[in-house]
Amino acid sequence: MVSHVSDERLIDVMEGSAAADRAHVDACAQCRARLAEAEAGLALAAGAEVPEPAPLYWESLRRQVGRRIDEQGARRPVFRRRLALGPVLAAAAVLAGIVTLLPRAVHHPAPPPERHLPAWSALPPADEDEGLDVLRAVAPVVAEAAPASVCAGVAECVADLSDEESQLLAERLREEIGQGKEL
Amino acid sequence: MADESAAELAPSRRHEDDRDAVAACRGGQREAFDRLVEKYQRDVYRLCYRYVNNHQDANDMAQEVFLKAYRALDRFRGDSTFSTWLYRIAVNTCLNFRASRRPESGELPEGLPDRAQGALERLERDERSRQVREAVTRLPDKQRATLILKIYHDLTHEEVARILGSSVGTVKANLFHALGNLRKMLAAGTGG
Repeated sequence: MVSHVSDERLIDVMEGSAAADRAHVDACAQCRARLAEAEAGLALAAGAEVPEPAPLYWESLRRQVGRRIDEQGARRPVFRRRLALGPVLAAAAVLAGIVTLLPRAVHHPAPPPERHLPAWSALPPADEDEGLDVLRAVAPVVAEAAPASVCAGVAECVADLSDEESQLLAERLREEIGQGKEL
Repeated sequence: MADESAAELAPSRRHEDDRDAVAACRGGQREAFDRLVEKYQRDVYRLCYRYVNNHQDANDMAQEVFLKAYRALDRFRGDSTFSTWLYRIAVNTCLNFRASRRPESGELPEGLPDRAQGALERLERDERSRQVREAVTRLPDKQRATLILKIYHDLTHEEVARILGSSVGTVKANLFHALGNLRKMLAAGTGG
């Protein structure tokens, strides 16, 4: 029975580091074919470069990594974390005791009121906002409601309005429309 | 790692620098980690790119690799080099990454095509590269990791074995099968 060169030793032959196996490969059509297949695969693989990103990309990658590290909080060394575990567990036990012993009638503070976003926050970006033409048409009314010295343009005036002011402006516009004025 | 900037330094000096940087990070110097990112970002990005074959996913993965490394710095005991450790994190991240399978964008070449080389020739070469990269992404996990680390990152069989947690013999066998499979896939036109 012919003993062929193993797959891993064929890699050595390919890399030129197995002279004894090389002699077998030279004499064995089957091993030669296997080696040729692997060499052809290597030739194909070697030519496939990764597209090089723009030079500025590397700086951007570094910054993104730095920002995410900052956002997600600092790393805590394992050693210090282990040391801190004792007091934390003790504090947790004390806290659990207090909570258990406290009368059930403890007053639970009401959750903070839900914060409503102003109506204008749902506006699309300026270049996609079809309502801007209408806004320009109502500029005189807005200017009256918010003096020109306060803001530079209509969009700025509206953007800076509080909920209350937005509501007032809406009422005023409704009145104007109700009086038959064209916007 | 095969990065040209990293390769300028002698290996022992390079590893010493890395150990110093890791120690500085542990001491709270964030900028020391920035230096490690700068040093290894090309290798990490290219490794990730080989797995997913598109820039967006490779970028996401490369960031993830560095974040994981940063969080795990305390667990780096220095038994292996920092680059081996980082490669291990990178390979694991790549294996676990659920690629969004974004199609490879037709990224524009950096400069204008070399006139002497000819635009057509360049296009053909780029297309061939794309097919090979696509075929590499379809290899079984171990074969793919072995081929990428050995062929594209120029690591030794021993280094690849340490990164993948396997024996040198297994690495060589996986490489052999990877090359054969790559050849078959491309001959059959299933590279992508």
